Amino acid sequence: MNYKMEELLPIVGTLADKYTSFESTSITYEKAQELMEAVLYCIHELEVAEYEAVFLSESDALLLSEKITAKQAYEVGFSCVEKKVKTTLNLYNQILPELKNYENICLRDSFIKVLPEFFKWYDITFAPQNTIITLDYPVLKDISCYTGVDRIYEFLLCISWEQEFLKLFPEDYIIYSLSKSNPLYEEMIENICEAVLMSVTAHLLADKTYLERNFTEKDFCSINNLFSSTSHQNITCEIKHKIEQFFSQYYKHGNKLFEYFSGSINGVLLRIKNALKNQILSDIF
Amino acid sequence: MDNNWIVLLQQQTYLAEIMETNQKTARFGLVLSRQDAEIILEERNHALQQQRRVEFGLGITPKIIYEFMDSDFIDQNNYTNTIIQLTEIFYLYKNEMQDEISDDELLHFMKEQFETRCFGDLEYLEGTCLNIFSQAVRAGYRGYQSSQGYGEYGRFDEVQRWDYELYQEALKELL
Repeated sequence: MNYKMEELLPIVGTLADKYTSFESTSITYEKAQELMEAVLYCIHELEVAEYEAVFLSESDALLLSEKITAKQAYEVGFSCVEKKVKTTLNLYNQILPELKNYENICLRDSFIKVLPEFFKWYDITFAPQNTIITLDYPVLKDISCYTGVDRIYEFLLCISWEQEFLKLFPEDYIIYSLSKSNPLYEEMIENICEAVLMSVTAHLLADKTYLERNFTEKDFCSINNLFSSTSHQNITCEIKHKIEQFFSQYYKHGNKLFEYFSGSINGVLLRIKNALKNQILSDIF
Repeated sequence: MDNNWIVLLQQQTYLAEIMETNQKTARFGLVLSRQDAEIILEERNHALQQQRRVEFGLGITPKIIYEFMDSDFIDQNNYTNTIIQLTEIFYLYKNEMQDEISDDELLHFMKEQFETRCFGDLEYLEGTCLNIFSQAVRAGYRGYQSSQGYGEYGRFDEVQRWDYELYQEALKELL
């Protein structure tokens, strides 16, 4: 949907009137820019909704089959943002009761203290593009290209996949893996799944079952042999394949989880390889 | 996004609307020619650009004209220039007061001071009255909301004005 500036200006004008409650005929450049971004954000949201076929009522979908004006696009897009906020809040409420932070303060604060502030202050009308809060807990997907409710929604999706992934393992095992990976795991501002993923990967490399928690010298030798006999690329391919199988076997959303974690597998393998090179495998597992 | 659309917006002119104000201002002996109206609009655009502000719709010019048309200190000779300067002052103080004050409240305040304290002196209006009042607004003063901008300056005026008793006293001394 490409609209000319001339078509968008009246929408910004209407928003400006609303913003000033008809008490001011002019606004600052900065505010005008913000209102224009708000209009563009809603129109973009409509494009995304149309592409993903979500948040659109039957009448909206019917409307979109014809060429619509910028004003109509803004209005339908605005309702899409409203629906997305509701969906995001529902997702938050769905995760919250069962959320386990595994003693990590950053995850706990990001989820319990910071996220509610977003829902409290989010301004759909005048600044839907504004994310408002800083999400300190680093998820494994790059969500920096998203703003506003889109970023919060993506963040919550990542958290839901992480929680699903971690739920399979006993809590003490996760805390043990975290403490091995970083003794200051409670205060670290790092993703908590990577340590567990590293443990899972090491199990796959050593061909051990998950019930056998502790690694022996024999296991480390077999990992060492694997790295010295096979190229890194082949190991990566093989491990990715095994992890994919593992996810599809044990998880309801196995494909989504694999998609989410696949980006971290390379990094995890490199860390194992480095630990091996420096002979500190026993320190991290 | 660049600011091209803001430039586009500023190019919108409302010449007809400005000329329409003549119908009401004529009874006060104030009439704008087409050329005057064009100059006012050009200067308005310049002021908006300088103060980094954007106007939607008709803008403030007709409001300024209607607010000041019955002034004792505006005649046909200084009409165009006064409107131009008032527009510049208006945008400057909208910014200075961080948009906390509405157009009407600011215009009422400006008109009242222009008539009763500045006696038509725009420099005094800008440099003293509005300067002092904007400091109060920035500091959190919101009393103008209930008074609509009328009768506000007395609270902040730093100059001792002539009142009846002071006048009598000075007169006695002179005699």
